[in-house]
Amino acid sequence: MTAVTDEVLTFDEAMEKYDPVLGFEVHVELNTRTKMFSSAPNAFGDVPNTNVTPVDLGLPGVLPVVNGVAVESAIKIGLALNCKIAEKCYFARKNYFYPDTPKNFQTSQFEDPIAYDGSIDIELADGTVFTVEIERAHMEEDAGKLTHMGGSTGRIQGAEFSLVDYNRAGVPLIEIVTKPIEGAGSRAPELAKAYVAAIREIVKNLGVSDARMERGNVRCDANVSLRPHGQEKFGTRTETKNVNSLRAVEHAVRYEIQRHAAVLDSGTPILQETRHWHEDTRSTTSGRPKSDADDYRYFPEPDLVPVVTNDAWIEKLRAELPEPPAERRKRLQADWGYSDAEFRDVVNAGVMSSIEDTVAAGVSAAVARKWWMGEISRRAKLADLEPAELGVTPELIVELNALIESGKINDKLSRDVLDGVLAGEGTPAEVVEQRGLAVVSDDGPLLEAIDGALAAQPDVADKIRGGKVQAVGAIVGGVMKATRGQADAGRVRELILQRLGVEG
Amino acid sequence: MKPTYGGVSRYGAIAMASSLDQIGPVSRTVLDSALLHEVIGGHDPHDSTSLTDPVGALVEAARLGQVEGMRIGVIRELQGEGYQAGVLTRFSESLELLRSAGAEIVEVSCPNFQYALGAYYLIMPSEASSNLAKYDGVRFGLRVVPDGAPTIERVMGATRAAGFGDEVKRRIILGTYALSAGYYDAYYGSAQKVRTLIQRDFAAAFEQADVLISPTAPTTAFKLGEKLDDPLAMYLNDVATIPANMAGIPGLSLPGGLADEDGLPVGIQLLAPARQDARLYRVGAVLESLLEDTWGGPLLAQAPAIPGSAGGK
Repeated sequence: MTAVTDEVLTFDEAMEKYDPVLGFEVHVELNTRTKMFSSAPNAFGDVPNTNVTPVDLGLPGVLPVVNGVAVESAIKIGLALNCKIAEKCYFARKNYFYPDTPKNFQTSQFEDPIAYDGSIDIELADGTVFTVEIERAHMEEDAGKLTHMGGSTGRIQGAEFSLVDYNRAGVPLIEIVTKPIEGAGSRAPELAKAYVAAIREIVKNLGVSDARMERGNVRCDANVSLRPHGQEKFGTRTETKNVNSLRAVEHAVRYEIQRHAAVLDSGTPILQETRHWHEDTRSTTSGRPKSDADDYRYFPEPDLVPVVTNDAWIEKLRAELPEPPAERRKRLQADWGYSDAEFRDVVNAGVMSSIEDTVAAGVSAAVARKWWMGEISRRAKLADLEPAELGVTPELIVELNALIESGKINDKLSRDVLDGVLAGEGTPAEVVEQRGLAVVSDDGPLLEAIDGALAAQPDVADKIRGGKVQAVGAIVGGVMKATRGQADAGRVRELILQRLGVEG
Repeated sequence: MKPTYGGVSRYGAIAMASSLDQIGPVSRTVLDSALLHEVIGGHDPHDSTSLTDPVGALVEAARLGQVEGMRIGVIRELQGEGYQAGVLTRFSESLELLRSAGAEIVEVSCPNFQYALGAYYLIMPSEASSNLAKYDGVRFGLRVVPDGAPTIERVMGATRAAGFGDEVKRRIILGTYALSAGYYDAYYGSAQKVRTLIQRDFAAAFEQADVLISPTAPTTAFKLGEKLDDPLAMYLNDVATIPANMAGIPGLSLPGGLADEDGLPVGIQLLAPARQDARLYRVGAVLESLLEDTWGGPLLAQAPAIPGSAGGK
């Protein structure tokens, strides 16, 4: 199947003429022990159709029972999004026939979501803050997972048959719906990514979801419409379904803006429809027409009683909320005295919590940053891991730092010590001992190396004698090389200058 | 016996209309029903709509054997026009027996019952259309694979076409229509409002009476399949029993004798406020005993043998 490539304008051309309006539906899978309405385990990656009870298969005679922990998680998400919490809310049946939906209806919420009317501030990379209004957050259940077999694309078109795994059917979901987001302008793709990142961070921080996008714990449907600058009325929107990485959210919004602009420029109306995102071509293709009058024949779920909340319960949950990620960042940056740029780099590198722990273990914020942003990040990149996954503990950094500060080892040697510790050779002190890594502090061998270096670079030696003290670095480098780094560079410099009879 | 809604768990019952469905005992005597009801009744954590109250002393009520001083309300709207003469005769006799046993017979009015049948036949098919959606041949049960390229839609369609009978299909179609966007408020929404009105009628009636009484149905039984082509006439047969389901209150039906004109059984219905199922056993057992005294034994003893069957006497 060859993908139909739509005409697009460049992003700048699109922005010159049009003003984008965004809207997001983010589905968050909760990490409750059991499913939304049954006692089946809520687990990822198990053998298909093993985490199911008669309820999850929709067998005759079964009834749902609401998972109380999921309700609490929903309330926590609502509170974290500054929403109002409904005093009384109902579940509703969303009726449609599809084989991944065992009852052929999804138990969801319709007119009365558990949380509504919230907002969150989204900070972009340069510090600009957008407030995104939250329309609602409601509880529902996930569908099973279909795998289409026999076709080349993995899509239903061209498949010979499909397999259904109901392990995911009934997993608790919270759907978070924004109000239309206006005024983002050319920042729209960036805002899209930052919004989904913020939701992911919030639910992860709350501990209510594993928040792993690659596993589908957080899934985004992105709505995009364009209107000419100055026009009040929204344009027709498209909904790009299941955009499941932060980068893809940004790209999908950008692509849809460019595509809409080209369609509108050609004088054709936008078709209200869902779109599929293709990571390989970074483009969308047409899904199914979607009108506002999609008829799911919603009605209140008669097998469940209303969820009734009260102030005492809500306040108890509010008191249990962890510090919001944005506030935590502000506090940590102030405590550590990092510049905005330094702090942003730390956040982007994913080492903020590691630094927090390392500072708590007893080193300065500057030292903690040097380690996590330097050597550890470098190693993580090489190993294709997150820095926190390398096994470097805050205590290890404290010990390494103590060895450096006492002059026992230098920065360069400390990397070898780290190698040894990570290779399981013992504590930093033991590694220094066993590998013979201590700094050479006896001047005898150093002077020998210095003479060698000076003899190897006589022109440099002459320059230094002539007063170009800054040239000393080249000789220091030669000495460090000769001593395999096991020298104190400061002491080497002193000795070179002494040897040449120059005042440092 | 139809217990208070939520009095017996629906877990395991194949659902038609979840907000109306109720499990209850069917037995030869009122006491047997009470005995069974005490066993199957009570809270079930698998059914969120099941009541948390204890099931109550139902057997004790059935064994009490007296109705003296109880107020029994005759529902004005559930008699008269449309009711078969033989049904009304047997009904009057039951009232007399209860009066003779010391009960006070009063008349109550439930004016909104006139809307009950229409509302019921919107709510019931609506919920049924959704509850029966799971019978699609995908996970269990009948699966019919049509000739040609069997897409999922065609398999579901063929399975449901073959597996459901005409009356079921009629209800699915009605319910699907009633829940459709643009019609929901007029149909399902209005029907739910009628439900509230019926509950109010009952609340007012139970201020005047401890239990209510009516014929169970306006006529004796029609022949199997006889009214399939006239569903409205068939549905009319439910006019006396559905108000209880609409309000979630308990009801009990017991044999009141045979109609003179066709010799078929007539049912007497007793109704009580929600969670007052014991009152039905108390009054039902007394009426059963008085009736059997007049018949000289259970009514079942008078049933003719069904041709070709070993049953009957």
